[in-house]
Amino acid sequence: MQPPLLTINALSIRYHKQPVNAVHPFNLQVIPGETIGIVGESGSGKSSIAHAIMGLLFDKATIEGTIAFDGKTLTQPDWQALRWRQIALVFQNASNVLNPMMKLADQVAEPITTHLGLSKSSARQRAFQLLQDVGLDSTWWRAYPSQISGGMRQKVLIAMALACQPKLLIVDEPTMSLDPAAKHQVVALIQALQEKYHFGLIVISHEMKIIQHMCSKVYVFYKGHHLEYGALDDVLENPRHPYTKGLIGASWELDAHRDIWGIPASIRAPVASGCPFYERCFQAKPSCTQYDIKPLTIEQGHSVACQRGGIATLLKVQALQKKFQIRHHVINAVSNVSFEVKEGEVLAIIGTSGSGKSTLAHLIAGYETKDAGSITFENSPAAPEALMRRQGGLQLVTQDPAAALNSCWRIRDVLNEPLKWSLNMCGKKRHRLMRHVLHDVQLPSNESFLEKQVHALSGGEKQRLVLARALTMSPKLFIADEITAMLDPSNAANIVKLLKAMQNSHGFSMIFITHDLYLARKIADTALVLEHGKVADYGPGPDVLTARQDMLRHSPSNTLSSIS
Amino acid sequence: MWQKIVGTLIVVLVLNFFLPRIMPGDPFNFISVEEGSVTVTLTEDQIAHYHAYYGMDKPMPEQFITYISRTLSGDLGISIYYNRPVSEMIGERLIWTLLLVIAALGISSLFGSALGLISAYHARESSILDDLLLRMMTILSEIPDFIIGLALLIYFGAHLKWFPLAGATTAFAVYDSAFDAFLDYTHHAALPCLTLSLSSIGDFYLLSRQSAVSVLTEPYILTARAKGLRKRRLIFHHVLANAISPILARIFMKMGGMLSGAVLVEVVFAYPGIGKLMREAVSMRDYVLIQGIFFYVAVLILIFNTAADMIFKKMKQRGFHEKL
Repeated sequence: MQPPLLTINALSIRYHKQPVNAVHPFNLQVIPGETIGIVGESGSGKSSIAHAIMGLLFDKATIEGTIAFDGKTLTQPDWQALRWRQIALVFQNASNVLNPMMKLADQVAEPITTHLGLSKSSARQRAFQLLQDVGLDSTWWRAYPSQISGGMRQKVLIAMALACQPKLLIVDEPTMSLDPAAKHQVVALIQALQEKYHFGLIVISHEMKIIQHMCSKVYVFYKGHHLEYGALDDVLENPRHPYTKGLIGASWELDAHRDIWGIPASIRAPVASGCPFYERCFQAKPSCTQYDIKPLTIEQGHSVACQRGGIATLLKVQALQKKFQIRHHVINAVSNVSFEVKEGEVLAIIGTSGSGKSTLAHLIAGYETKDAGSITFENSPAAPEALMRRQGGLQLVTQDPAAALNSCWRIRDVLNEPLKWSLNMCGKKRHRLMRHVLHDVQLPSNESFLEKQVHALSGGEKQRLVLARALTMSPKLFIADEITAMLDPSNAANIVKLLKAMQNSHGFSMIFITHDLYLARKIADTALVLEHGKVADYGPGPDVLTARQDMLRHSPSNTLSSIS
Repeated sequence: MWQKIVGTLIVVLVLNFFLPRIMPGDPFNFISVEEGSVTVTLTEDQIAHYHAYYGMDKPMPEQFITYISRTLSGDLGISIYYNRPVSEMIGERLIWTLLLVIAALGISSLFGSALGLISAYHARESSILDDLLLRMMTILSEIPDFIIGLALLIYFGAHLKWFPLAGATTAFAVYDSAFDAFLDYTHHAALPCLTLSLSSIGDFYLLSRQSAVSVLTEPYILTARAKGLRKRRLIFHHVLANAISPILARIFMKMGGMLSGAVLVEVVFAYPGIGKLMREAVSMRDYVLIQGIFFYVAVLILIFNTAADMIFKKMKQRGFHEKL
C-alpha cells in the first residue's frame, strides 16, 4: 500500500470561548489519488475539519492531536509553505467567498505569483488556462464576482484551488445550491481533473448521492463526533450506525421508489453526557448515556462508534416450522423460515394469500405455538405472552379492526384495558397516556370522544383505535398484518402513512405484512418473500423488490399446491 | 442626477435671498452702531438714500428677480459694509479656508483610516491597542471643534508660545524666498489645521475601523488567508480594497461639514478665512456679502456631495451598495 498522503491522529477542535469541542478526537487517512468522503448533517463539524487541515484555525481554536502530511507531522509554521501550494480547499460556494473588488482571473492568478514565483503576466496566462480547464467561458475571466452566477462561481473556486497543482484537494459542499445539471457537471469536472492531476481528494458533503458518486471511503460525522467509517459500499449497503441509516433513509436520490423520512429531531429527552445521538436514536438504552466515544481506528475497516456495537438485532427467527393437519393432509404453513429484524428496521413480508404470512405473524405473537425452530427477542428466547403484556415488547395489529375490538365497549375502556391490567397504571397516568396516543393516531382525545362506543366508529377510525391501543404499550416491535386490507384506498394510505410516521418518530421496528409489492417498496428496508410457507427471497428491500417484479404480474399462486 | 443638482441650487438661491431679510435689523442701523469707539450715525435721509442705492426700497419680488439674474451672470454684488465687490472678497478668503480644510481633511482621513485599519486588524484578539485607540477616538470625536481649538490655542499658542495666536501670515512680513513664505503660512495654519484634523480624525477612525472589522469577517478574507498570501497583499488587496469605499465617500461628504466647522475654528484663531468673513458679514447684516458667502459655500458643498454621489454610483456598479 502507498504511504498515506494525509494522516490525522486524534484531532480535536475547540473554538475559543466555546464550552464544548466543535470536533471531537478522530482519525483520518488519505492515500495519494484516493477520494474519501466526509458526510453529516449541517453543524456536524465538517467545515471545521477542512479549515483545520488548511491550518486556518490557530487563532480561533484550540487544536489537539496531529496532522501529518507526506509523512511529516505538521506544526503551525509548516502551513506557510503548504497552504494552497500542497493542500488547497474549494471553499463552500457562498456569495462572498470571492473578493468582490478583484477580477476573477486575478484571484486565480494571485496564489500562482505568491507560491510559484511566476511573473504577473505568466501567472495570468496560467489562470486563463485553469479557467478554461474548468469550462468557464472566456467572457467571464475578467468579470467581477458579483457579475457571475453561482455555478460559474463554483468553477472559479475549483480553478483557484488547482492554481498551484496541490497534492491534496479538499472540496467543501461542492454541489450545494446547484441545480441537478450543474451538480452533475461539477462532479464530473472534479473527477476529470483528478484523473488529470492525481491529487488526493476529500469531499465534504451532506448529500449521500455525491459521496456515492465520488468516494471510495466514507466518514460519517455527527455533532463533531466520528460515528462510522468504512468503504463506501459497506456503509451504504450495511450501515452500522443508526445515524448513518437515517442519513441514507433521508436521501431520496439513492432510491427512487422509497418514501423519504428524515431523522426525527428528538425521540427522547436529551442528556448531557454519553452518546451524542442518544436523543434521536431508535435503539438507545439507558447505558448509552454513559458511553464514552473513542476515536475509530481506520486500519480496522468498517467500524462504528456505538455503545450497542451498531444497529442491534431485535428479533431473530430461526428455522421456524408450523404444520396444520386437515384430515389426512398435512399443510406446511411455515417451513424452515429464518430471518431477523434489526432495531428501527421495517421488514416487509410479502406473499400471496395462503403463503403463510399470517401464520408466521401469529407464531411470533404467540397466537399459535411453533412446531420447531426458535424465536429470540433482544437476544433472549421470546415468551410471546410476556412480550405482549409489557412495555417495550411486541404488539400485533391485524387486518380486521372490528374483530379486534369489542363493539359494545367505550373507547375509554378499550384503551384502559392494557394499561390497567397489564401495566397496573394509576388512573391519572392512564388518562394522560390515553389522550397522548389518541393524539398520535390523529383521533380526537376529548371526553365526549372517550365516552363513545366502538360501534359508532368508522372502519378507518376503528383501525386507528387499534393502533392507539397497541401504542399504549410502546412496543419495540410492531407487527402489522395486512392492516389496510379492509380499508378504502384513501383510508389505507392515511393509515400506512401514519404508521410509518409513528415508526419513524418513536423508533420502533416493524414487520409489515402485505401482498402489495408497490406498498412494500415505499416503506421497507428489507423484504422477505414467502411462497408456500418457504422463504423465496430475502434481502435489502430495493434488491428483492426489483428482482421480484414478476409478482406484480403473476396470478395468485394456488394454495392447494402447498398441500403435500 | 443633474435635475437634483439644479433643484438644490434653486432652493439654495431662494433661501439665500430670504433668510437674511427675515433676520431682525437692517444693515444701515448696524453701520451706525458698530462695535468700537467710532460712532457713525446715519440720518433718516441717509438711510433712505442707501436703501435706494442698493435697490432695497424696491418691492421684494423685484429685488428677488434682480438678485437671481445677477447671481446667475456671476455678479454677486457689492458689499454694503466694505463697499467692495463680494466675489473679490470671497476669492481672497476662500483660498485660506480651502487650504485649511483640504490639509485637515488629508491629515484626518489618512491617519484616521490608517489607525482604524490597524485597530481593526487587532480587534479580533481583543488587544489593548485597539481598546485604547477606540476609547480615545470615541472621546475625541465627541468634543466640539472650537473647544479643541481653544485648548490648543491656550496651551501651544499662549502658554508655550510655539505658534502664533492669530492670523494667516505675519503682519507686514517680507519674504526672502517662496520657502520662507511657505514656512510662515504653515506656522500660522498649523493650529487651526490641527484643530480641524483632530475634530474629524475620530470620525474617520471609527468609520474605517468598523468597515475593516466587517470586511475582516467576510468569507473572502478567509479565502485569502487560506491561499497563503503575504500579509501586505492581504491587507492592501483584500482588506483595504473592500473597506475603502465608504471612507472615500466620507471624505467628500465630510468636506462640506468641515467648511462649517472651519467657520468656528477660524473665529477662534482669527484666521482670515471665509468663516471669519461670514461672522463679520452676519454681525453687520451685510445682506449682499452673506448671500455671496452662502452661495459659494452651498455650491462648494453641492460639488463635494455630487462627487461623493458619483463615487457611490461607481461602487454600486461593482455590486457593493449593500455595504454602504
